[in-house]
Amino acid sequence: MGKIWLIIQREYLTRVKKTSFIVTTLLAPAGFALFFIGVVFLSSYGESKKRIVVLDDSGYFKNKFADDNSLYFFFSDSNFLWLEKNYASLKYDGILLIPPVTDLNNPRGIQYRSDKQLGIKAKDYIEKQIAKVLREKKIEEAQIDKSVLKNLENTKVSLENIVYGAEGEKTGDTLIATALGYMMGFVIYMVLFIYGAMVMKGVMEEKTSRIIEVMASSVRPFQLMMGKIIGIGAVGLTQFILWAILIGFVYMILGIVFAGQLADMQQFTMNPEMAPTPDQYEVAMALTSWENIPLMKLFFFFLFYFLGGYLIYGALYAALGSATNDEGDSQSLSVIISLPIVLSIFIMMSAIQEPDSALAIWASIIPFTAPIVMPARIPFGPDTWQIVASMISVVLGFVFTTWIAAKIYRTGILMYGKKVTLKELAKWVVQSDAF
Amino acid sequence: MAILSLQNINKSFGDKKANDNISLEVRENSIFGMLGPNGAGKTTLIRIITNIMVADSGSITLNGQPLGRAHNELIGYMPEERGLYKKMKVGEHLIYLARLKNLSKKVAKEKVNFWLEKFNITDWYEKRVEELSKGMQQKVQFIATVINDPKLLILDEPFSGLDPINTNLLKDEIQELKRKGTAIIFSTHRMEQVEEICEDIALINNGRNILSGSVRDIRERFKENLFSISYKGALPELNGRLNIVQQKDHELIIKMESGQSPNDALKYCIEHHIEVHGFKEILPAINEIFIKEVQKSNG
Repeated sequence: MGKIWLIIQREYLTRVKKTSFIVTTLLAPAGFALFFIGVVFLSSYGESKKRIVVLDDSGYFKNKFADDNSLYFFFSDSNFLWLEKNYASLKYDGILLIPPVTDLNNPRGIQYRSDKQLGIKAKDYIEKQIAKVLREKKIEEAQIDKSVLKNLENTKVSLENIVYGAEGEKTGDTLIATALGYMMGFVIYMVLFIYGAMVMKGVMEEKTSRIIEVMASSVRPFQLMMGKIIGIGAVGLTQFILWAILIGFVYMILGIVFAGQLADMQQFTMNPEMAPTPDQYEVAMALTSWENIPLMKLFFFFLFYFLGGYLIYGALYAALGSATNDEGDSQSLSVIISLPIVLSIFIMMSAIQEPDSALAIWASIIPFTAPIVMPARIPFGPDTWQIVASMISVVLGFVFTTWIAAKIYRTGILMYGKKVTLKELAKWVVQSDAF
Repeated sequence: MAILSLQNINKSFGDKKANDNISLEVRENSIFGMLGPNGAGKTTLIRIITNIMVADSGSITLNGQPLGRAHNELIGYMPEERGLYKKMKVGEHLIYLARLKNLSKKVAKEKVNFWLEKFNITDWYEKRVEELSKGMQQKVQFIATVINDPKLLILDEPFSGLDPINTNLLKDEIQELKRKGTAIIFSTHRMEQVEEICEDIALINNGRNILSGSVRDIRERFKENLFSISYKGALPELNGRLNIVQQKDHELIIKMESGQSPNDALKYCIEHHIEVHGFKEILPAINEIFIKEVQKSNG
């Protein structure tokens, strides 16, 4: 254990001291901060203000359009041809031309004329304003009582999901479960690729720099392999924990700095009356059920599958690195390891849609897909037996892949210049004591 | 007394026999040359001795005990293909390798400082390995090999890539280690170095030990009774009494027939008024023996 510890220390310290590690660890939260500031900035200041002159020949719309933060409407009785020549000098951005409306269901010939293209959001807003006025006109013509109509329309149904659990009933939320599940699965997916590749590269470097023979005369190949896998895994964990802390910290600072803008955004999302789309209403509801999310439990499972998945694939990547002599070899062979990882992410997406489908359940138990699929299902509260089976399977999977990897590794690290085939790798595994 | 003893070592890779029933002994306080052409099985044998590989059959004792992993602390191994972590600093790298040989941090630091001072390279401590030249890296590699004061030191082509000054420096260190009680296995293709440094040798070919013993004995065993006589002045008619193999400028190479003694040749020269300035036996060079035996072994 002492020697493994020394190797872990070296693998860990040499990597965390690297400038690239420090830069990427700091840049990610900085990127998050920039993204956040960007969103706030764009939502507050990003839109250009437009002054629109409206020529309403129908007579239905005069002074009935509401301005918003970026669009201001001015009704005019001027001649169109004169206005077309002079609208720019009058500091208008465009002319909204509304001809007489003959069919309230399908008003034709409404035009926006300008030297600049109208943005989608602005176009949508103007269309909604026109539709709103026409709708009111139709209500008026149909002689429908507005209060009755409002009462009829004011029917909102929200399905509250009560989940039975050991601690009693609690409110579940599909949207937040989906978001959390997807996030956990995707992070583990990235971990497997990024740090798996790091293990493979590390082993290859040791092999090509020929230090492996010096090392192998001091430590067992298994110790060397495990030291490297654990050391690099610790680097990954450190980076993720630092990211979590830094992003949390950045979020807190930004929350204080942009308190006003955040309040506006929250008011918009939290008030169903103001929410123009059902999606935003759902988000608002989801935000209110945050307190029901068992964060510690989720963190435990995330950590378990993070480590389990990493150890399973880290061992396989180490074996691969030991068996190859150059980048080309390793790339072609790494496809074999990448396939179940990529497959897992597709199954995960399906599992989030249908968390209790047969595919989702089986993929949560198979050790090669479980590290990505199961964390994504955890927020949906799968059956306990499935969680237990999945965890046992991941542990057994780790033992099995490490056993195979150790056999390939101890032969591969001393094998130079020979292109290794899959058949050969299988032979190394089967041989009781190749080296 | 033998510090290392190998008995009937066999190792195969598939159908290929890398080591075929090899037996040999390395004496304490001696330098042992392991010779053989490329692919002869030397590296496999070294890897078995250093516990990197396991023999299919046979037994090995080190210091009188069956060889095990624990003995790695008594062994220092410098492979032919050198390798260090390029990004590590020399000092921390040496300490790391020393600690993997079970030295405590404190002792490892002391040893590193001792060797860097000895080689007058203390300013390398903070340098990254990649900043050093190949020869400089080789010095670091040598320190890493001997840092645990090994009882058995295995050096595979230790002088390759070194300039003459550093070659001599390393030779002196090897001799000093030997004086201090380290047995050294020296694997090389450079036969002149074998004659200069080694006391015993084993010649491995096609996985078999085809010749072993002390350098002196082997050269004696393969001698062809050739003597060199250097003389001054003109050479008289010799009437076929000396079996002259070669005649060069004021030098005769003669072959003594069985039953003849070198004194007979000297007596003949004096009787014939040849002014003898030098008389010495010609022993075959290890290189010649090597080539001859390998060719014979290959049939």
